Amino acid sequence: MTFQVRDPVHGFIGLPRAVARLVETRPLQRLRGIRQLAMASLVYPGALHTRFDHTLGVAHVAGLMARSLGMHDDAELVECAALLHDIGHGPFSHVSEYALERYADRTKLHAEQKKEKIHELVTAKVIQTDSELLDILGRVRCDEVIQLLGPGQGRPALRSIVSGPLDADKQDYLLRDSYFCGVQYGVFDIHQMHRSLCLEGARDEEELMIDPDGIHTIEQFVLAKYYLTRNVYRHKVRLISDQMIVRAIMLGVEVDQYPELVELYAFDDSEAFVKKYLTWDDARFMQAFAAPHLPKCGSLLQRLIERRLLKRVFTRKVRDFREDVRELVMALGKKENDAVRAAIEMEVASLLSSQFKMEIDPAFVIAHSFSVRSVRESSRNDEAGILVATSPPRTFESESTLFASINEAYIDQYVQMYAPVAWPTAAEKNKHCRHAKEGIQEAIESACLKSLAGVKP
Amino acid sequence: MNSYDFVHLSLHAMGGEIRGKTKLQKTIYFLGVLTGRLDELGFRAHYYGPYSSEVAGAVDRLLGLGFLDSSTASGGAIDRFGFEVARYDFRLNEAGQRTAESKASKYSKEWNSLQIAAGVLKSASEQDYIRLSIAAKTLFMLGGKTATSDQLASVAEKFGWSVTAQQISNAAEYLKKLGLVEIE
Repeated sequence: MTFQVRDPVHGFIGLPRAVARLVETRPLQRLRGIRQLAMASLVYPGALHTRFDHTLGVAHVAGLMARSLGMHDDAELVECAALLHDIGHGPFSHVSEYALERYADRTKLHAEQKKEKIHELVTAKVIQTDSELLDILGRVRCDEVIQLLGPGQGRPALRSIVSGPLDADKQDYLLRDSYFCGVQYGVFDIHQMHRSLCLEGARDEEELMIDPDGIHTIEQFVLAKYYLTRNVYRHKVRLISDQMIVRAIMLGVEVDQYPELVELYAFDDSEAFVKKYLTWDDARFMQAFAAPHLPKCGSLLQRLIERRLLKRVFTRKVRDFREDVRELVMALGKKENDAVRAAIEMEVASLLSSQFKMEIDPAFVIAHSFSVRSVRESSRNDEAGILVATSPPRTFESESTLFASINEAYIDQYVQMYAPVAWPTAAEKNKHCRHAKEGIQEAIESACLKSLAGVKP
Repeated sequence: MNSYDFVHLSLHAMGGEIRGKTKLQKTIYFLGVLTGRLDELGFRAHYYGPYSSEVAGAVDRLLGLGFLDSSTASGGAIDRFGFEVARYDFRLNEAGQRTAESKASKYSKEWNSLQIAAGVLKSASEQDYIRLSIAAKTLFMLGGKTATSDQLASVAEKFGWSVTAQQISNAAEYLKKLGLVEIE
């Protein structure tokens, strides 16, 4: 007996009843309130889909993959892991990941936990402690799921379905994000891809490979990811809106010091933390924190609600900076570099204040550096290691002439500055940005040099 | 020192240049083993021996920051093991070397140990990436400091791709030269 639900991307999604019981639990239902692409709807109005839809899609794809590879005995385990893989997501998904990393109480974590990503620890803690999940799955199955979702353990082929360059997560999000954004970039032939997947090697040590007939499908998949990354995930408005939420959280915790916000991200590995954390979603976050009693955090979130976005006043490749500051420029988002980042933002606010002849609050000026392929993603997105099942197997990289050029396009790294300014026309915008460019680059380089020399910025 | 700095300094310690992505991966793997920092580098089992996407990411980052140049050398043919058709060569440019120098002063203790490890690796003088891969996978599969000839034979059986007893024996010799395995 299977549970079936209509899905705009995959048609009917079917899950075994035993697995589908998870869908009715509160931790899964909470994902209906967390948008898949945070505030991307500000630029793609259709992008209102949630982690819940995506989760169902991933479970569906994971089940298809496991069964098409003949792993019938493990299909349910993979489906459970797929259903639970995003269960630790907080409001606005990846924005919360950053906040958890920044504000987790590491003094309360075990030594072996300190190297792990906090949102993955949250996911594991939810699975370990939620009574509904435990009732349905039992302790043993919960531990198997945690192991499969965690780093480095479990049958390699199953792990490849849950997390790897061709995993079910990516297959679903490319198709789903394309569909809901109304773009055609993420489309690839998923059925042909599944036909092309195969396992090579001894049982329990198999490697997931692709049949030579599937190379073009994988190329299509890699291209889809690249186009979506460039056009959706790294879209200017998406970057700005994400950074506005990140900054709002920082201001709420560090300046407004609002206890509810402080508690939300202070992960301490306790069951009490997880219980509270699971009550949050996007809507509750906005309702609680886009409020007048939080002068800094609230007003920045209010700007987002009203779509009064910060403007990008500066963008430059990091490699165009003097060589001795490049690494620091690229690491401005790290907590240990708060002082230099704040110094840059202060200086840029002052420059822009005189240029625009208005007072600009440095707290709302944001320096943001990133690579086209973020470090967070790279460990699970490295297609170079995919093997083509020729005899002997060859790397996809050596089989696909297209791949190398796409891969090279990912390495660019940028630093951008966003500020609360406005311009009436594109010509005015260009004029202002040209005018500010040199001064901003100097401000960044000078603050970085001072920091490297040990001078307090 | 994080994995990115380790890769940067490893390239510097190896003379600023490594030819081929496979060779780069295996070189960093052995440097990780020899310096006792392997656990920090994210290597996992892969069909053709240990592979780390963290190391690949560090290389991308060095390229993106303009510290590393890459060029493609195409031999035109695919060897019988199916390794690289086009070979990617990596060379630290002047900016990359200068930055590495300043890192070497900052992490002087780690740099010294990397230099010693690079010296051991260079003196074992294995240039061939296939032999390096076999050695890396053999070490990964043995998982200990000592090995008997029976263990080596069983490694060959589980290898995944076809290797001869002679190739495994050469790999064992190489590992012995590096001081990583004693053959009983």
